[in-house]
Amino acid sequence: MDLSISQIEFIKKEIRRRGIKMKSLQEDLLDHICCLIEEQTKNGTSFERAYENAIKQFGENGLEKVQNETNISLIKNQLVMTAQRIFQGFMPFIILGFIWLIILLPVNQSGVFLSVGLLFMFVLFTIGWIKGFPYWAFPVSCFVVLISVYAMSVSSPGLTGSRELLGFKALIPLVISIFIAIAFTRSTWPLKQLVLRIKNDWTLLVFAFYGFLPVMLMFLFDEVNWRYELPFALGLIILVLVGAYIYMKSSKKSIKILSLAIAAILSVTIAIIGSLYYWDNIFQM
Amino acid sequence: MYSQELIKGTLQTIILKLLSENERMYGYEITRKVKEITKKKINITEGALYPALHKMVANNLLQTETVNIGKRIRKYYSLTNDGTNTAQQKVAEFADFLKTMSGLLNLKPNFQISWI
Repeated sequence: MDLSISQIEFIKKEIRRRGIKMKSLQEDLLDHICCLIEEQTKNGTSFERAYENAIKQFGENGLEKVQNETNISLIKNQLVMTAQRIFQGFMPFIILGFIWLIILLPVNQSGVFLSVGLLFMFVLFTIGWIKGFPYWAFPVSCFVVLISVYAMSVSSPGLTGSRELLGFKALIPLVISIFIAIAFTRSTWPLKQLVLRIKNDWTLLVFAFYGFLPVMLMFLFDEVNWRYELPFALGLIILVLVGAYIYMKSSKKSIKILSLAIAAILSVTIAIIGSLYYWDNIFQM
Repeated sequence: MYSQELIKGTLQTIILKLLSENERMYGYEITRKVKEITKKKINITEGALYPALHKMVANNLLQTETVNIGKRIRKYYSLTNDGTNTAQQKVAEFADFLKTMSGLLNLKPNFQISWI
């Protein structure tokens, strides 16, 4: 038997009286309790009796417990997701920051550390592919693709250890990573996921290219004395991380794009000015 | 009826699977359907269901749609794209888990425990 408006209003008031403040949960519980009552009144039970039985079914302070459980679940979820999301999203930029610092500092065996850093990025790319390109895999993927293309066509002894152009040999790490990922997944699911994620959130493409920003900043300080470059490197890595943090925290696409754009423009501007100032004043240093 | 601990670990999978087979469902409908399919062996309490549904909405696995059904509002839950993908993953993962547990507990094909 359908409930009357006054009966429904009574249940609504009772839900609020029992301390349910979450509007979305009020809606759920109202409909749920009404359904429980309607099932009983269908069999001839009175509304009052059916209401009592429905509330008893929730247990003592049952409605409040549902709200508490929901709040705890959402808060825990939010904290875990936020921490996890931020850590995962920061990973590529922290590794790239590490690579930058290793390249510029006069460290013994810096080539080894550089190779380890680059290897890590390719491993992350493989893992990202296997997991269906979660959001953190976008800057990683863009980095490994662009750095491979760069190493193919530009002689970079700091990166490759040799003045020779690597040509297609530069693609070997990328090809191996893709091969391992395909061997692991044996399906096109990751690529379908990639397309789906971009369709659902096109800002991921911008986040992908943001992954190459640390490398661009490194290039702007090419051949600059490490003592001069170090504070810029540290400051700019932090700036890049701030841009990535705001991107990951925001749900609005406009803010996501703005955060990356502002961080990129600011960091490139600071890098250009810093580099120009260095070269203008080099003979005075 | 199974213990709540057993059900807690599988609740998300149950909800995702149900919603993958039904375009949309409301909370009470989910509890009723599960009771019906499992012949009352699995009883999802409201204290378990609504926190799980709200968490899955927060994680973008589910989306909601409120419909006026006459004298009140009804909130329907349905899968997002992420939810559809996760449903397939979770069900496959659980099927694999059952196989593993079957081997571990030395269960015969009809799931009787073998003490040999």
